[in-house]
Amino acid sequence: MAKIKFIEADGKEHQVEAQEGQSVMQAAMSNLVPGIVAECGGFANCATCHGYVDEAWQSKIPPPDAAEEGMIACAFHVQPNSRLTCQIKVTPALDGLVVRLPVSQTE
Amino acid sequence: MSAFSGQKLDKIPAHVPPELVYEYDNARDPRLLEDPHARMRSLILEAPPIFFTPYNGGNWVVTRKKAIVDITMNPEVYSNAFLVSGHQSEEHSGEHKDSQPGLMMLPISADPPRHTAYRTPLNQPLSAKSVAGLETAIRTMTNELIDKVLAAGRCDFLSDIAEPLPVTLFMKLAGMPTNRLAEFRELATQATSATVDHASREATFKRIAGILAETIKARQEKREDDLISHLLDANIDGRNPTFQEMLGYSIALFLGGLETVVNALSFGVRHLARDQELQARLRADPSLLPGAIEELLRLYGIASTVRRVMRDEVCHGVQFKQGDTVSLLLPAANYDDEAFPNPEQFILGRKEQHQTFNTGPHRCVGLNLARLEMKVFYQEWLKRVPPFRLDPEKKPQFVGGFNLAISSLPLVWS
Repeated sequence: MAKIKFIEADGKEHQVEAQEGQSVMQAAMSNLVPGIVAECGGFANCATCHGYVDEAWQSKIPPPDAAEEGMIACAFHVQPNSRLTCQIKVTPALDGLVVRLPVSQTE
Repeated sequence: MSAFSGQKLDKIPAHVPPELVYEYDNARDPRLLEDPHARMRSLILEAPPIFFTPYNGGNWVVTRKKAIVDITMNPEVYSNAFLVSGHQSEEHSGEHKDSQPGLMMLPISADPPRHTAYRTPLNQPLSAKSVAGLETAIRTMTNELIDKVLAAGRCDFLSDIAEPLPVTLFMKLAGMPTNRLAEFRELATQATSATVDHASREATFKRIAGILAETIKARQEKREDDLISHLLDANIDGRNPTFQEMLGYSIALFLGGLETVVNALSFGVRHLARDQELQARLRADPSLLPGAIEELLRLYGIASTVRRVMRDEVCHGVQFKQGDTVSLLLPAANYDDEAFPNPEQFILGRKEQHQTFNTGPHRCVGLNLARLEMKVFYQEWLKRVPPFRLDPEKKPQFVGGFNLAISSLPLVWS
């Protein structure tokens, strides 16, 4: 179990309880966090679960693989801390993780 | 055995309980050919959620969204690696799947993790960001096609608009000669037709492969700004695609680009032709279009997909055996009441994701292009063409199979 805070582009915060082994995307989807679409369901194929990992947490998460990097390049509003949340596995070490969401996933 | 031979099994397999048998021929069912999507809805109402049909060699059919999502999200048990040249082929299953030299469709015929390696080179050029660059060209093509029919007050929407628009655009994108449009469209229709015999289908695929091979060879010698050139330089596990793999990509793109948008556009326009009120609403407020297009995509799913069961598995209470074939009826899942309350109604602003593009790793790679083509088309068509309706003299004609299709859609306006 880990607490994850999602912050929408307009500042609205959503604190969710994530299960170990889930992805950060799944934690958002099962708690109906707005701003994540996740069209492909978690296979790094669509770039619609794009989020910004808070700087303090970046070093605690394994870096993106080539497939994820390729899809991040396809996302809108990309920043240096952009990730696909479907590729981040929830572990107890991520308790307190903060993920900000882009203004839109599709444009 | 060809997927659409029409043959009926003499004997239901022992592991299939009689209450799960429902006779349904996905290519020839008379109610399907009368109104394909009404038939999809009737399957939800009349057939078990997962049923076994003895037609076309015998296979399971899944119609509910939840079960389809569970199956597509579990590629280890439900494999795509037997799909070859648009039909199922027995000899290409099992341990030969990685080495057989036939026309594998890529990335469709590969399972993860190989699928990811094959899919990655397509994601970027077909992303929403990349295809946005095509918007002006799509608008120009759409208006040229409207120019040709506007004054006449009538058209056959299929041959005059729905076929030329996405087909021309796709061929441009892929780097194929647009002056062979009619020939390509005929080949694509033949290749996906549910009722051609096995030998004709093979011959059609050989002809398509021959044409695509010419394009690939030309691009090997000289790169252009197109998808084939892009794929030739793609990195698949540290190497470029082989010629055979390039053919596999091209076949999948050819069929995906030439068959699906044609039909999605046609069914959508047929809906508007029968609903003057909706036409007026969209004309008055084009900002409603993106939502309307999603709802039309839900109501009129086109493609279905098939999986091979890799080990004995119980799925939503049904015992599958290793080697069973499972058809996922994506257009039916869009009429599943569990996911879509009042599924027959056009309702703007539904939140639930429709199944027209599938879910999971094999979710349609061309969906951004399809959505853009539809948005631009409807914007221009509704702006320029007066209220239109179905030609009362000529009924639309429908086709079944893996793709639900219309072969003719006469429209009139004044």
